[in-house]
Amino acid sequence: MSIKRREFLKIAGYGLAGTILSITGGVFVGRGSEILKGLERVSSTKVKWAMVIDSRAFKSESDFEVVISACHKAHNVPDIPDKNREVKWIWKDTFMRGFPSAETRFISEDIKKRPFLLLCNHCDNPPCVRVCPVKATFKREDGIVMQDMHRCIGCKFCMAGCPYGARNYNFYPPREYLKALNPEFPTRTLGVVEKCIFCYHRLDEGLLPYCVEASQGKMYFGNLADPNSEVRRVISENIIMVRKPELGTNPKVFYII
Amino acid sequence: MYNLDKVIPGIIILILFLTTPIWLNLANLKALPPKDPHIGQARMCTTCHVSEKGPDEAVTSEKCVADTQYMRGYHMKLLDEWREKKIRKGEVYYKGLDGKSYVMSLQRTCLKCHSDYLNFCDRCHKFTGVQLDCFNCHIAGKEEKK
Repeated sequence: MSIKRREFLKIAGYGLAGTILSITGGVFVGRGSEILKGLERVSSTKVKWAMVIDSRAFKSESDFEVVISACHKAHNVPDIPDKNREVKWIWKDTFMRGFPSAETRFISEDIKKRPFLLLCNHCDNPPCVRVCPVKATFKREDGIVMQDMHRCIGCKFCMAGCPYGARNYNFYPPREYLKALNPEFPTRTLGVVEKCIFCYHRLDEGLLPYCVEASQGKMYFGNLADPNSEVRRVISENIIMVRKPELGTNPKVFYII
Repeated sequence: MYNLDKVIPGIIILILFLTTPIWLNLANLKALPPKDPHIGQARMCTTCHVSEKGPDEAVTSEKCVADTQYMRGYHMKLLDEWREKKIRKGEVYYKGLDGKSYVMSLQRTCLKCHSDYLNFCDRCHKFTGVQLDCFNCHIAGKEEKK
């Protein structure tokens, strides 16, 4: 069986064309478009929980302490002295560390020195959800970025993915660092990642999150999808900042400046 | 064939040995969980709802999310179902057998009545060799083993 040069080139040409077509076609029709869809998807649910923190109202140390301890006590968050491996759901930090990308050259000294209350932003486009290999972290219908601790394998991808440092790994057995246990809520176990859960368990039962309750009016909580809600009103009436908006994560925790 | 007088009895002994479980079962030899410290007699798993104060409150009041027989066999399935509904679907209440709604929570519903961890959960699970990891996170109460 012999094959002519012309025929050989023809077959090779078809093969090459087919390969190129399948590669590019695969990218445009398959994965690529899915990723784009994921990025552009705006949740169209009726409820989208959001929080507004009035940074002007948090002045003294005790203003922060009350809110932080209310959350940490209720959720059995361990108090670990090792600062590099601590676990926190809501914490206090400086403006420069909370909003590192903000234009600060001509900003007032007051704001530059103001401490801020930071927590998980429950992003509308959460990177931690995208990177979780076991779907332990997921976004609920109402926009809360939740974690299924039963499923977490402790791979720490979400910690690398989160641009807000809101996630902490349990390097130490958490129960040994708890002074008092709240029997109404579980602790976590060694080797899982944890973060703020927007008190989903309280919202489902019609209550406000612990921090909002403890702040006594310094924080607002409500439905961002409802144009008449209190959070929408507060956001529209004040000057608002979100953390690292340039990343496109669409945070749902807003700060009144 | 050589050594018939040794080979045949050998085969018979081997068959008898391999079928020991059947003979033991026929002899009605039962494996029993350890004796209940409060009652002083060995009890089967099915009757282990006993704490220091006598029968478990949850059993005597017959107030549970499902009937006792179902719970004995399938409590792990129910808990799995609750986990799925509570965490993934955001549901809160479970309609119990008595028509009442119960909050789907291990700590806030189950353990409120079944508060004696060592005698309620641990004894049967130890006996059946089931390793529990529920209580690595969930708080079982005072009697929890460390």
